[in-house]
Amino acid sequence: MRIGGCQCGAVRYENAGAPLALYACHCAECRKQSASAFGMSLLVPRAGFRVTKGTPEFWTRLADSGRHVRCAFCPDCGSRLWHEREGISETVTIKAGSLDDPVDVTGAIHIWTSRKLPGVIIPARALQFPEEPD
Amino acid sequence: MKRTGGCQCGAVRYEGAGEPFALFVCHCAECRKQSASAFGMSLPTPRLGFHVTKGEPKFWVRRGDSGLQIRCAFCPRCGSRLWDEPEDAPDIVVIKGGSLDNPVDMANAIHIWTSRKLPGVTIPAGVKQFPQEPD
Repeated sequence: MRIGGCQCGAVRYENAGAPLALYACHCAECRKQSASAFGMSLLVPRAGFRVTKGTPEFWTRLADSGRHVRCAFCPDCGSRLWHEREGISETVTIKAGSLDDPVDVTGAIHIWTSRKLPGVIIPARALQFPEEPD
Repeated sequence: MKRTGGCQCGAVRYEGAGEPFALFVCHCAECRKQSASAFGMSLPTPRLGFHVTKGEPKFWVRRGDSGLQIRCAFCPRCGSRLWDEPEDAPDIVVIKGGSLDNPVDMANAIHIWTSRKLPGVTIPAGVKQFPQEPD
């Protein structure tokens, strides 16, 4: 069981399913989302994912794919929590830094590396893609 | 040089005219939750010349380890964190680096709270780093 929540603690969630992949995304959207260098996405099965405290707010954006992405965040402190992609009902994308336990980034797949900030180091052996993987 | 920035959805925009004093990459658990990513990025900037150019941020106030309060500005529509205002430094606004429109060069960032760094995050060799807060 993985548990997580926002910075102020008003919204909490839990997730029972094993993650399918961890992405570090260097695109400009993820940079704005995190207000940091890149975004981190942990793809998990939607079955076994649920909110245990509070009610998130949703902001919906249109992704490059043409699909809408519903982005859950805490209305009190703003922390982004997870994304739900239109047309994909089996998975939820947890924003990995919202998990309580530290995530091991060693095996992360780095995407949109063409937009990577100068000075950010990607491990030599990491799987990486200049844009989205096919 | 004028720096512009804003949230992910564009509802809140700001500009800063002053030169940042430093760039910090912070690996603490608070910054991890703030960014929902691996670490936070902070650019302490003079408040003089900093102003909101569009929309209105919402503020969340938290108490730092120092006991002092920090006012955290974020977009009420998309949640993106924008800047922090530390209670003890009224002349400074701490811009969250990824909210700036132009990419920030991380090569010379000062890494703090490296004792909490996520496994697999690489800190460039030779940069200034501190296991906790610098003195």
